[in-house]
Amino acid sequence: MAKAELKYEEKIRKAFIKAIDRSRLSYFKYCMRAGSCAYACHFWLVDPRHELVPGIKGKRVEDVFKKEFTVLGKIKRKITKEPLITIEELKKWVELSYGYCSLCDRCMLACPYSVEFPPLTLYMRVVLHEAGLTPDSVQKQVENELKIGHPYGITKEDWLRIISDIQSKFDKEIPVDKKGAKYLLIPGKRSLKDNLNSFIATIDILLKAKEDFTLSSNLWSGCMATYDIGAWDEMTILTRRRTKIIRDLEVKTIILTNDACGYYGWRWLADKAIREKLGFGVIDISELLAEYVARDVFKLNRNQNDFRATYHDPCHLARKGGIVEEPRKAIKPAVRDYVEMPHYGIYSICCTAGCLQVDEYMDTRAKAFKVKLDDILATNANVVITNCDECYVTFKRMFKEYNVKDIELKSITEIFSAAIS
Amino acid sequence: MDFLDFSINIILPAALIIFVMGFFYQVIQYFIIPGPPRPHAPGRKVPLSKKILMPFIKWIGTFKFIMKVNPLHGFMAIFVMHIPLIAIILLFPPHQAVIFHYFPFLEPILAPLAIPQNITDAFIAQKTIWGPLEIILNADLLAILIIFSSSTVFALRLVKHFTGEFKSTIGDYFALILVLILVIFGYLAVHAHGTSLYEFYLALHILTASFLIAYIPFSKFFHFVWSYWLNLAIMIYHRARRGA
Repeated sequence: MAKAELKYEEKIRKAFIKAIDRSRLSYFKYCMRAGSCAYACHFWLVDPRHELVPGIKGKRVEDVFKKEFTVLGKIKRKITKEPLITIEELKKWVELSYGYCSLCDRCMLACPYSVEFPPLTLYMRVVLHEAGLTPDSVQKQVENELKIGHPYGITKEDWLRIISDIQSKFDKEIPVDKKGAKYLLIPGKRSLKDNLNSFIATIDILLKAKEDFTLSSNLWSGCMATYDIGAWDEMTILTRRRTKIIRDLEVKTIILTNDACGYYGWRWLADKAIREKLGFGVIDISELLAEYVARDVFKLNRNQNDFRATYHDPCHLARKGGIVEEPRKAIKPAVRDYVEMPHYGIYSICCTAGCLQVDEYMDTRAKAFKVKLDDILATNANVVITNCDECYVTFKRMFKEYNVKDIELKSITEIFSAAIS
Repeated sequence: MDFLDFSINIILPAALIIFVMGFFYQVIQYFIIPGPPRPHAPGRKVPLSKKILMPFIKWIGTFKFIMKVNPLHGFMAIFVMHIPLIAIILLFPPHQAVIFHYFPFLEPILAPLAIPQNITDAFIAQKTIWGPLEIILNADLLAILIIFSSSTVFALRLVKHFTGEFKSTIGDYFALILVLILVIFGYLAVHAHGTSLYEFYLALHILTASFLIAYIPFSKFFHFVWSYWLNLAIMIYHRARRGA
């Protein structure tokens, strides 16, 4: 084997070892290949092929694991001199982990053996990141995050201008960099680029509730997509950097608004990434809205939202984040007619983004969206409400693709804000 | 030493030794791999009752899902194969005799739950705690159910293999064949009682069972002694922390 190839293989080997931990090992090692996971996967449902079954994707990781971690595998590898993983196989991993998986975790709910498959496609992504094979559109997000502070390239100047534009819409002053506030509001990573209305609505609600909150001039993205991209070292760097900003502001709690993957990352992963306590609380905006409803802070007028609405549970918020009841508590008193989709809550079907728009694989994702669309159409709702701007953008793109014209999209904060006034 | 003695006194203990060694090999390998980073953030506040109910919520949710999306395969695999298999292994008196020989502490728990051999025994000879349930809970019927369900699951896997939807591995088919052979030999042995073939069938049954016991730690059968419970514990831990 050439020296360069050896070096490359060593890099892959190290990435693989870094990604494997005991809790995950049990998942792929003990897959019974019952096949139930397939029926939960929107990609398989529209394209029922063997290689797209989540458990079978996991088996590819297992094959590499066996070569590296088992006695028999090591002996076999020495005799046959086969590489740990070939470049062709890695390219297949790109397709399977980005084109045919959105890390939505739905497959693991269907597994009678509680095997967790998405982390295995996540492992594929970790290895691919080390190998430099992450799709360009996704890699660009990591680079933007590190260099600019926002995955979609919103600069600090843009952010300050946006704050000033939003300020012009309100009579009351929007606090910026206020030390010791109760809440720090962090915009969703997509909000500033594609759905500013959802962010403006959040500010509107907080101002009307006379909440002690602030924005930070140094923090305009709470994005944690680096985790789902497998760029774990970068995630640690970003989390440390952002944690410092938040700690310096001495706020008690951060609010993630319309950012499911941001909430999931900050609530369940950030402390693990920096290996210490964050020192502040993390909530999703729907938790606060549900609290307002419980405390009767506002008199909500359903007539302001005079339509039949349904709620889409973002995977990173519901299934992975545990936020299921709160959005419903906030939405139900704010709309005329509320209806659930056939699959909702933790069983909700993914919008196909999974916190990332992968431009290279929009075709496979658009095909898989059919499963979600059927769920939406079954409700006869006029409006789909969501609590994640990544889902919002995906729906927008997919509705265009499927020529859906009579269903409107709204964010949870827009609905709530409208019901207040 | 005849064939039956050889199976009981040499093969079965040897299989148990391999099983114990294999079990520890797998468990040690599991703990050698580094663990995940420990969480520092507290879990969401979830009522204790919900935390206690979490395993049942998980089971009910998953089974409901499976019965909805893949009813024939799910029903056969869960209700007609797994449950009868567990019942016959733990509750059929000849099996209990072997289990109590190696694990005497289980006798007070399992002995009162013994099931009759067949429906005739149930009504004429034996009195068990199962009452009218003996119509189903008798070794003969359970064995037939297992033979029927494992054959059906085998066929369903084969169909999916040819449609290209899901290709099972040789190990998957082998596991089903092993269960099938084991139960058939057991059934034949019970029904050959008092004939010249009895010892032969029993020896084959014990040989197959010994092979399966030794094979457990290195195959998908490992799930019922370790991995199923481990995975379930990990999932319940995460779900209880998240509160959903």
